[in-house]
Amino acid sequence: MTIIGIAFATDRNAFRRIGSPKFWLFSIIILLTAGSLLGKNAETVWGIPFSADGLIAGLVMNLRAVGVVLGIALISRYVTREGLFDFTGRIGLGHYVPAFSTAMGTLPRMTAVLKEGGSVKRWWHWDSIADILLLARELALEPAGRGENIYGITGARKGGKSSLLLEIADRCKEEGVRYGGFIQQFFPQEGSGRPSYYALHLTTGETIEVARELEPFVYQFSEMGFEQAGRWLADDIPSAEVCLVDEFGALEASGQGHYHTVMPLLQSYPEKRFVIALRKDRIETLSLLLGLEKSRILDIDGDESEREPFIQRIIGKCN
Amino acid sequence: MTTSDPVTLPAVQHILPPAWREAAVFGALWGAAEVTVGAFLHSVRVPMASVLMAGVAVALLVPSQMLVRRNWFPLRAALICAGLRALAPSGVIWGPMFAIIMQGLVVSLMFILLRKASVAGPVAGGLAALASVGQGLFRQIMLYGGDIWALYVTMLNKGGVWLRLGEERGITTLFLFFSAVALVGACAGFVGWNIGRRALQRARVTSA
Repeated sequence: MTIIGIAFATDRNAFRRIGSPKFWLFSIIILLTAGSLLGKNAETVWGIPFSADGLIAGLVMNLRAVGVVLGIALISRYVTREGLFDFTGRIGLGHYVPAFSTAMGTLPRMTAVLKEGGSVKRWWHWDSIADILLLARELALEPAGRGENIYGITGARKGGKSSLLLEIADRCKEEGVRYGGFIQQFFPQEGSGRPSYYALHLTTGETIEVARELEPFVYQFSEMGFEQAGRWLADDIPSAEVCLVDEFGALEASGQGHYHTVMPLLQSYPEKRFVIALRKDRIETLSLLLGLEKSRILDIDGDESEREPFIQRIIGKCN
Repeated sequence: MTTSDPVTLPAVQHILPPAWREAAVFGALWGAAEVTVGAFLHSVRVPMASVLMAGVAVALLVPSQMLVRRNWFPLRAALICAGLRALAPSGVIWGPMFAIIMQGLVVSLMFILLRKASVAGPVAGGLAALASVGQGLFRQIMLYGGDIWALYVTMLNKGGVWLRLGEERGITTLFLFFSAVALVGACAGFVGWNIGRRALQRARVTSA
């Protein structure tokens, strides 16, 4: 009754909370069932037993409910969003608001990757869900300022991205800059003539198949190939200054392929320079994942004059 | 002595500790499910929607905890998810927010107490599902007092008598109902453990 009085005196808008028809319907049901089932010395009214004790108990329950709802309504007028965030800071949850902002920023990145995942088969397979969680963990482990040691090369299919990576490797050799990593080459399969894609280790010349085309636009991928390529890169990194990776495409955009082997290395070696070939049809998602700004991406289909300065930026920073 | 012109210092960037960064990312993933699926189920008033969403939450939280391996991570993620749920375009907010935080608390406690994921997952799932059903009952008790519980028990017993099942059958039926709810939650916890196991296997293979 006290709360009802306070609400009446201070904020009559609070009474709107108890204006819901559903609330009153339930209150009537409580009153009638309490009158019928609770209490003693019931008297029959229209064939239904009712007791005064039960009705009083029902009435008290409803008054209590009204008081609780009004109390919450009164409190909520003073608990603003800013007040709540101030409170979280005072009780030691100071990281809550920045974490919430980070979560809001994470959603577009996750959405982009999940959309890409729609193009990968077996979307609802357990392994796909596991991959999404692994991707989330990697996003969470990324240090601040990610992407500053990464450069991207993009362009049309078979437009010369791998050739440019080879050119960078040759220039590193000339300038005495240590390099490592792998590029991608394709060769026709025996019989069908369809392309098979191989990773070529730049320092040893070893090759391993990573994918093959079974039918037009239908590919079979080799997990073993991706893992081996990742091991090559991991072996080269400690001594290399420039690391070349060919390439990130639809598979990597959905958190598969080279993603799992290369991403931890990007995070663990922020002092190394990584140059990654990026498929143009996935450039936005890949830029988001790698934290790449446009200024660090060279489009080989664009202005030829930007090529040399780009190479100089990579090699020059190592001298 | 010369003084320089006043310089506006750039705002200090808040460096988020790894614990909260993990909570932010996984909380965002969970929040995306809550905002879409959860808001839809509650708005359309699907029966036992709270149990379904508790199952989804546990299936996400258990493998996430297996990957992150940090105490109280589920609770932090739940706080983030609850905040995101509050932004959902749905008339029902406080109930789901409270439920989300309870789910995070339950999973956190079970992993701290039971340690082994294969046990903690299903147990946490069962308890989270029961908590989601119990929340409605708790809300009723908060609003109407302890007498509402007496009213429900009496109704149950009367129902048993009217249906000629016997007075004690009502309680048995209630027990079976809660057992079924707990079983659904435990299954979700088991599924979550399975996903977490696969994720750990894939992480080990790719980092070898």
